[in-house]
Amino acid sequence: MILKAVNFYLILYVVVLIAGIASVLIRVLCQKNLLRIKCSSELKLNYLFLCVCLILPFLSFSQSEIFQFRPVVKIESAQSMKDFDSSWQRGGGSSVSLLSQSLPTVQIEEVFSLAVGFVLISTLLGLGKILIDVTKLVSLIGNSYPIRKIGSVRISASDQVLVPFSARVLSSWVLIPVELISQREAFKVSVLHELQHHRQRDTTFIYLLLFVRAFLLLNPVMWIWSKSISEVQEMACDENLIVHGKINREAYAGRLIEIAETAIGQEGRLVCAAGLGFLNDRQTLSRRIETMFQKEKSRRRVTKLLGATVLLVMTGTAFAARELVLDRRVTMIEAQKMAEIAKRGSEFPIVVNDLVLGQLNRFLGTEEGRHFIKASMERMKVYQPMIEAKLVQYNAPKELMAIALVESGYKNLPQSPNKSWGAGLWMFIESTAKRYGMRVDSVVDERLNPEVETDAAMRYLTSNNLWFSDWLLAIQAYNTGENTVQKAIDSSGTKDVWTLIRAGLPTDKDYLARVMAVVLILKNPEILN
Amino acid sequence: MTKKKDEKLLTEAETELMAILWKLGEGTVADVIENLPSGRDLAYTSVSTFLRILEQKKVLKTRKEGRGHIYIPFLSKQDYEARTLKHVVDKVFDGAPLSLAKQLLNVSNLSKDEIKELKALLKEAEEQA
Repeated sequence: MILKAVNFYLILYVVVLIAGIASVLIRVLCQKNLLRIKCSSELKLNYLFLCVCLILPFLSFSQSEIFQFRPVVKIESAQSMKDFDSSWQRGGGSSVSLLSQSLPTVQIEEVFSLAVGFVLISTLLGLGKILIDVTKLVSLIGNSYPIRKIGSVRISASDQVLVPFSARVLSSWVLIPVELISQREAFKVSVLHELQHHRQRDTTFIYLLLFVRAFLLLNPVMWIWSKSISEVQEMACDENLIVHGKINREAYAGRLIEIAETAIGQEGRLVCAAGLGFLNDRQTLSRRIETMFQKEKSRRRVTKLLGATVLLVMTGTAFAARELVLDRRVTMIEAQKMAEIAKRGSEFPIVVNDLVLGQLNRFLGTEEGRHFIKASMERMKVYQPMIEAKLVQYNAPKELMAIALVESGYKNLPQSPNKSWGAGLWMFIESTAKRYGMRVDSVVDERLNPEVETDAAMRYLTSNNLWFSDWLLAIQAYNTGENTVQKAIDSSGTKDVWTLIRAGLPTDKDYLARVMAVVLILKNPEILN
Repeated sequence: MTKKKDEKLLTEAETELMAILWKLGEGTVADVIENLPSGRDLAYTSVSTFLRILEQKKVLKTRKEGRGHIYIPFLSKQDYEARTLKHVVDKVFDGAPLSLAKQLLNVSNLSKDEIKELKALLKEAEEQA
């Protein structure tokens, strides 16, 4: 669950990075006159990108067929099966690698919880700031004197503001300083400008922007992008007023300068507001005035092309980055789901416990393990028809095929110098092989004849099952020897194979769990992808 | 909603208009405009807006007559003089009225009649204290 949240956040982060950089780049190009598009179109592009940023993470989760980046952070049970075995004895653990570089063992859950906590706190702080500013706005509005209502926008005069601004707090407001009332021309210019902000929905989008900024506190691009958007908002207002002939250019430019002079006195700017008087640094101001006196530009095709390109890049990246953090470990819940599927249509006793979970992680949670299983399954295909026929013949469960996989990986290996190891698919040791009628001498080793050895294995296993009336004990006895198992049952007084194993049934403690794990994997082959 | 402070001072423009209304006693927007000093160029809508704001500030009351409103000062000239003076004493003269009085004598050249009147007022204040 947390993993999904982390990946969601990363997708959002990456997409905002792209959108932000693209938007700021467009702004810079426009400033330098290398790109000529209408400010209103530029603003709409910015808002479009912002909205798309928020939708993409949700969309990208649903995809699974499209190309995907390699995970940046991989969490596995161990680096190799051998590492797993040694750490398993010590109680298990996990291995984390960042971009293929192995990191020191960290408690992944703790790191994630910390990260989630950090994001939550930063978002809450951001929301807190918004709340404080809204409260200040409400106070300002409360202490102001409404003079007019234009459409749904209320114009109100205030003793407490030096420059006009607009904000949306439930209703749309424009606050102007009381003195402005006596200056007809300036009043008209200011109100028209502020109304345009409302029309452009700047006062609404500002909240969205602030929320995203709080959520993505660590994203440096957000801050530059916000500033860029503020500039575009003002320029789009300017453009609208001049282009539609509502105001004379000279008068407007003059008014901007007047306000800049007055605004020096205005204390602290409220983040939720947009206004004529903001953006009063010299460069921005001179840019605004210069732009006003430029010839009209209108290149709709360029805008559409730009927009489409950026959106495409954003979408592609969002989908490709959908799983930057990959957790290969198997959880108990996932294991239980696998067991549910495995039980269907079979009488074989499927069991999932901590030992089985451990072995599942050994195979599925390591690169090496996954490779081993896949390769073994390939090799198994060759022998499968023959073995299945034998299983039917001896009326044995199909699950027994897992044993050969665990024993030999379906490699028909000859006897190694170590006589305690077996040979063939089913790894019979020499003495047991002879007992079951196979010829093992310097001329011929019948263990290496898959059909003969499989037949012997079937007889051995079914005979164990008759003895113990329990397939799990039968399989355990295949590995440990039926006498050892019987002794353990007699001395402990229980026939539960797992109790016996935990009590210390000799040799391979993991054997049965391993076979069970392979059974589960064979019945849930999709898990290998 | 937050309370509107009634101890606030009026702005320059507002004081200008109030002075006219105090002189007239009461009046419409048109009346006020007629009585503006020559050269003072205020549009009808501006004056109208100002008066409406003053009404919201509870400095003016209105009475409907025919199609228009008649604005009547709610805050008397004397009360406003007192309020302004208190503000000046507090903010400029560090809350010491005597400093203000000293300055007042410095800057204004009082006539003999005015000084006589002042003496009478002081005697009255002495008896009351």
